[in-house]
Amino acid sequence: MDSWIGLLKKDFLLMKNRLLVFLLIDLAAFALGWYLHIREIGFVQQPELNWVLYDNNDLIKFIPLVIAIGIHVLFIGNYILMSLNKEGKQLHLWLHNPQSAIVLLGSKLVNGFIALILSLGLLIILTTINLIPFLSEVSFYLGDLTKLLLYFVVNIIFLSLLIGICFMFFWTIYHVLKSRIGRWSVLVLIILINLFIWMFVSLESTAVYNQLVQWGEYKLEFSTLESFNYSDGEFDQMITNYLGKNLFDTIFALLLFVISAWVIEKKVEV
Amino acid sequence: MDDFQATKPIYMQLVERINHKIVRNELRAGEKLKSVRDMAVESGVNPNTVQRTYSELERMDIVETKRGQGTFVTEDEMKLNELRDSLKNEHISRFITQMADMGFSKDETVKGLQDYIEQQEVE
Amino acid sequence: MIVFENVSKSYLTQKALDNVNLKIPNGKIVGIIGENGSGKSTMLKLMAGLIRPSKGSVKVNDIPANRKVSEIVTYLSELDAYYVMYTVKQTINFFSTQFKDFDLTKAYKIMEFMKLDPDQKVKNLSKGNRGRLRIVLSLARDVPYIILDEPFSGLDPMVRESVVKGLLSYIDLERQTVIITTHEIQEVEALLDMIIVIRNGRILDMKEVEHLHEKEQKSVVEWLKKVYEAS
Repeated sequence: MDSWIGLLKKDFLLMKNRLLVFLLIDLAAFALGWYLHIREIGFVQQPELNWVLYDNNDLIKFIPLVIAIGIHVLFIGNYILMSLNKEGKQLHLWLHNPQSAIVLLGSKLVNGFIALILSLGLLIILTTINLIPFLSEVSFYLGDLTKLLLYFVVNIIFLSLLIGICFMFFWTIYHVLKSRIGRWSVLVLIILINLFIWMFVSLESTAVYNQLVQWGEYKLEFSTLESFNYSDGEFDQMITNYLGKNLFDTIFALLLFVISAWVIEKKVEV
Repeated sequence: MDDFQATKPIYMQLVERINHKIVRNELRAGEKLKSVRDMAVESGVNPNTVQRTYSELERMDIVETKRGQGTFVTEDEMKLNELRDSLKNEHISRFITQMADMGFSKDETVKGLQDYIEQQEVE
Repeated sequence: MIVFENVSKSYLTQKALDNVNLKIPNGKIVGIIGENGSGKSTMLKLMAGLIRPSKGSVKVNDIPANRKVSEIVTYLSELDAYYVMYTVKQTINFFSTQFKDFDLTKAYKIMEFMKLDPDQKVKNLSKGNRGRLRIVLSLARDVPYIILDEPFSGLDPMVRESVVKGLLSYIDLERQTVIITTHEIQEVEALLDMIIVIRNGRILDMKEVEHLHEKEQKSVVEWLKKVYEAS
């Protein structure tokens, strides 16, 4: 237990400064929204209401924040790569340790997750701050809006973990390649990544795959958001998902994680 | 840390050093020797070598090891006198051999020695 | 005992070890001596389970040396690596969480012996003090095998002396074995029980140091020259 906490703490401190930078970027997104908002007000005297809730000038405050939240699908991957690269420069320091590679990598993943939650949490708080003036206006939609935001965030966390594990996997592969084939390893790695994506995409289009994962259908309804009709189309009030797909992704991620740990245990050299 | 000659086993050099200390009375009969570790640290020598030094001294009956207490210089005065004599003889024999090698006769050597000592006393 | 059986190790472009057969007995301080690139570090990394042989096997106490071997082996790399965000004390504390046999009290004792300031950031330490810290970390474990890759390299004579004294003060050869590579042969001559000479990935010879003094009347350096000339 002590060894796990020791590792977690070490990995957290290793990335503390980077994490602060991430949080500053979040604040910058908030500031950017306000900057754009204030600049717009200067030009438009009489805001024209073309949406039910707010005018464009208010909406613009949210855009950088929403983009920032969206980019968080890459957050854990990015975080883990930075953290692993710090260890990569002094691999013996990281690997001369009786804890299994699962534990060593697990600490990186958990830290990435914690950092993601901190950064996402900050962005959600900032978004909420921007929402406060409209709370009375949106009270009718508040339930569904929260649900939608939650769905959005949960998906980002899940996807971020998945991508994080993929990055981790390719990092370990890169380290094996580097000691085996030297300078060609970057090229080979790029080919491998493309192959990997191509395989994944082809798999998803096969009938077998779809049969395998399309079970346990569940729907999320956002009925109060019906009035969000706008010129480009209609907001789909219903999101359909499959438990099977979620399970498949989870197993896939776990498998990749275990393989990464195995590669470190058996193939990576200092 | 001490310097050692490369052409002689280090454990023997340590034996000689301790013997000299005993003869000079820096180590008295019955006095405790440093522990193997302290001796090793002080002289910068492998503890196994120090252990071998102590074993050799024990074999020569100059020290004895008491279980759980350490290693002590023997209290057997006869043994210590023997050590004294043997060191003396060793040095004399080396001196005589060197003098003979240089072609001095026994008489010349003894005379030279007497003159030297007398002169030292005058000064 | 550490046993190398027909061990070869190849890297990308060169062969680092070539069919090494070796038995290193317990309870001794063993020096591995050889030029740069002779395969010394490779041997130590194999013992620490940080790399794997291309051929043959390396066993520590009859267990194949893989990463798990770090439970009974402490390995000090020739590289000057550490976690920069930690102070001396935090570094010691971190290591104590990772190794079950890490003796924190002993670590602080060696730290004081080495005159290290516990609250100084590791990244602000002088090279000599970082070398001392790495010795603290290696010797604080109650571990059967202590493997030190070039513990003296780049350190001034004062630091080298404190490292030697630290080593002699805090190892216990009744339970521990020390394996050390070094360039400073003269300095460790009195420290070593045994010496292994390696060149171009091959073991040229293995001898008891006192045997050299007694039977061949040679210092390690003189003997080394002879062995090299003969090879």
